Amino acid sequence: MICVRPIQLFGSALLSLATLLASSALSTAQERIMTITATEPMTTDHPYGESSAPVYSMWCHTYGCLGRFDHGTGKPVGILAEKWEMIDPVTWRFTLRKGLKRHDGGPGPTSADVVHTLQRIRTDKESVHSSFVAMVDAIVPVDELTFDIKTKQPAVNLVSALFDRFIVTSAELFAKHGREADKKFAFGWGPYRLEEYASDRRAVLRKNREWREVDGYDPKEAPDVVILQQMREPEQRVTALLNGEVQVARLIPPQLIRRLEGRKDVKVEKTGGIEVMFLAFNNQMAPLTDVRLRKAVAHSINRQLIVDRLLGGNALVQDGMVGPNQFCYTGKPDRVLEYNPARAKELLAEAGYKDGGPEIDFYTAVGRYISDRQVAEVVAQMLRQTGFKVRLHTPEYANFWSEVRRGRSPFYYMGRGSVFDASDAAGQLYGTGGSPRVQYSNPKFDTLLKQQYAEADQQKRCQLWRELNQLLIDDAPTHFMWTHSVITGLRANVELAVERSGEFWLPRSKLK
Amino acid sequence: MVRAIALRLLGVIPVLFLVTLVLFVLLRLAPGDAADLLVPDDAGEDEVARIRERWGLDRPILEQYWRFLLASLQLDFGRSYRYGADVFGLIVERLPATIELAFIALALAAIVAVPLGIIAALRKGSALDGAISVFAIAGVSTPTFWLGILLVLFLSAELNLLPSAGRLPYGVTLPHVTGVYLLDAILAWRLDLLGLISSYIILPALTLAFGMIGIIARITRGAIIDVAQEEFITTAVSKGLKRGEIIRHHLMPNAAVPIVTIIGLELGVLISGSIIVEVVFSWPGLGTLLYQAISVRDIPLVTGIVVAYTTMFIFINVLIDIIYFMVDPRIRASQAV
Repeated sequence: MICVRPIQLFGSALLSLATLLASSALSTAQERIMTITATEPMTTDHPYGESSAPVYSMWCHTYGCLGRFDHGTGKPVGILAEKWEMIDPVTWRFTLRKGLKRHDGGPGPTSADVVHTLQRIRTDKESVHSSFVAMVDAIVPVDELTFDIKTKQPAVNLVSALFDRFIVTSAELFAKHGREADKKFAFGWGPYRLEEYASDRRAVLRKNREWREVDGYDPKEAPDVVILQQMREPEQRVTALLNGEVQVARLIPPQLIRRLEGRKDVKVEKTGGIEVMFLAFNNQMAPLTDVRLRKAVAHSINRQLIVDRLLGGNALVQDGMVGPNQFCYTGKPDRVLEYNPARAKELLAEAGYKDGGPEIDFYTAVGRYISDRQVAEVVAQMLRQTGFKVRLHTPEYANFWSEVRRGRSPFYYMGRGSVFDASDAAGQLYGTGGSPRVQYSNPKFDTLLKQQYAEADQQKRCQLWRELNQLLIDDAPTHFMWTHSVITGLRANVELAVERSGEFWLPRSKLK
Repeated sequence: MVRAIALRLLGVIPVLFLVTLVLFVLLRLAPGDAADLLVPDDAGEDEVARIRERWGLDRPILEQYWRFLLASLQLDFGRSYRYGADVFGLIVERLPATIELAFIALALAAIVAVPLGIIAALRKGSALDGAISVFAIAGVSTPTFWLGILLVLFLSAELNLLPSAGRLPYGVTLPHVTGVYLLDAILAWRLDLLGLISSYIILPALTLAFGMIGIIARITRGAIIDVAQEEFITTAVSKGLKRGEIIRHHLMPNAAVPIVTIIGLELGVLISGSIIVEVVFSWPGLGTLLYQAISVRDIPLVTGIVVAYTTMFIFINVLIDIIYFMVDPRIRASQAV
């Protein structure tokens, strides 16, 4: 039971009074407004100028994107596209929806808009989105609403690579207004219209009354106005949720959940996440070039203990690149690297470190991932217990990331976000020449990876992934740790299905 | 006086030159690459190289600095890597929020601290003096980020008394004249909004003011005690002047110089030192902008903001000199000779 003290009543009354005084200025009092905290930087109104899942989601709701991935059903759902099919190994055909109107009353999206989008993503100097369209060779219009996407190589994962991220913008508005189109004519076809964008503050989205979902669903219960309010401090997000300033507080760290528990006015929703956390080795930097040492590291870490004690049970231990929350998970791998300190000591001895050692430098970012520093401290301690001599380094994220990207970090703890279909992430991290971050190379892995890109039969493709997963466990170029749960705080009157990526689809939400 | 101010203002040029040079070199020597942070995790090396070329990060440092200097002479600090916007425009947009916060915090601090300092000085050695000293030391010693979070937890979460973040809620329309919302509300005669605007500013302002209260109170106390020991005060007492008259006409005007100095200096510290408080309260000012710019190695933006801070600091010092001139007849006399 929640007790309300007189001072709280006084406080509420005072806040209400201040709001009342301003009521004449509030033109939106009758509307159903849902404020959601934004945790990532909101720095530019350029639809291709910033790259993070929440920013993709914001533009997907306003401008519109081809489709989204419904992690609940594990299936892609159309947004601006109504159907898509693979017509040959390097060609996908998409058909756009008929009957959509642009927010300013202009025409619906056409193939020309899609072609313009690819062009802008690739050539606009401010665009940072070009990496996820790297596999695209060209977009060829077939007719006004149909277009083919030609890929450089077979890419059965094209839909999962583009959906949620390929934001379609109007060729006509850009031709007329150039960059000003993003500021003064930010009209798209999505379920919400961008009403205001104030960098580092908020974005205001207003419901597009004409929007119907691709299956005909009328989002009449969705909020009229959605405010994405930037709040990067978790404490602040929780506080704002508790006092009703926001209706949805995203990314609640495990240690703050207890502030929300036991209250009738808020609820906590947990979704299995797809940010894969791992301990990465640089496979070309001694002494971790020796697979026995990498496996000894893996056997030294009691992942379940860390999840239970440090992360409050809010993570799911993961044995490979593909885990239970991801696409193509076919059950526990045949061989896994379990916690086994005795085996770790044996492997150390076999590698010539019977009397202790080797000395290893271990890096972690601080404040980038959930409890990252604390996790790294526990990992370092567990490694010391089996005989490693560990020096833990905690550089600022900019420094940490720069070193990792250039392949100069020998051993580090980090995560890879939004890995539902693991193909591209695996190619970049573990494919030969993919990047210098791990510097792993195995021709068998490369062959299997290439095969799965071309395998249209999902069952066969997932079997290939089982083999890939096993290879990564056996060779241990990294040691997989877990996926964090996505924890969201909601006011009791809100219904919002949070996807595994941490994002949500507003037309399906309800604000009572 | 005018000559002295002109000389001070001329001194700004070498200071700014040195500040930009040091910043430029330090930011480029620091590990971490802006291009790495601009692209997503899945971007390849070719994408990083493209971004580096786009922003001129692949050119020699000296060339980059020379280009920056030439452009900054026309108040063009370049474009922010991250915001993709003109740096000068971003600073002008965010500055009013920081100035509003700093002035309100300073006003709060001065209103509380100066009377406290006077009381402590007049009751020197008493229990009240001791209590004020403890309060002052607590203020100076309390980290602002901790106090800010504590105030949010207590006044926002627990009591639901004040909003925890931002500057104004959605739906409130206010004509943009100066960007200082309290002033804009008055100018537009929207007095109904003053309460709402104040409810957003009070927590960050209180957090900032708390540390200053201690400093200003201690300086005020010390200044008054010093002046009270001067012979002219003894003379005033001997003449039989009332206590209030002595304080108003003899003690305070002579103690004003150090008090004005510390308040002025604190204003400079406030404007440049509100970074953490702005972040804690999501206050959309220069501090939040700088925090964001540093974390992503946005060199033009960091440089622009630091130049803005430096200019303001010097400007405030000049302003203090002018106030000295006004409040202290001895300075006026020395300038007149």
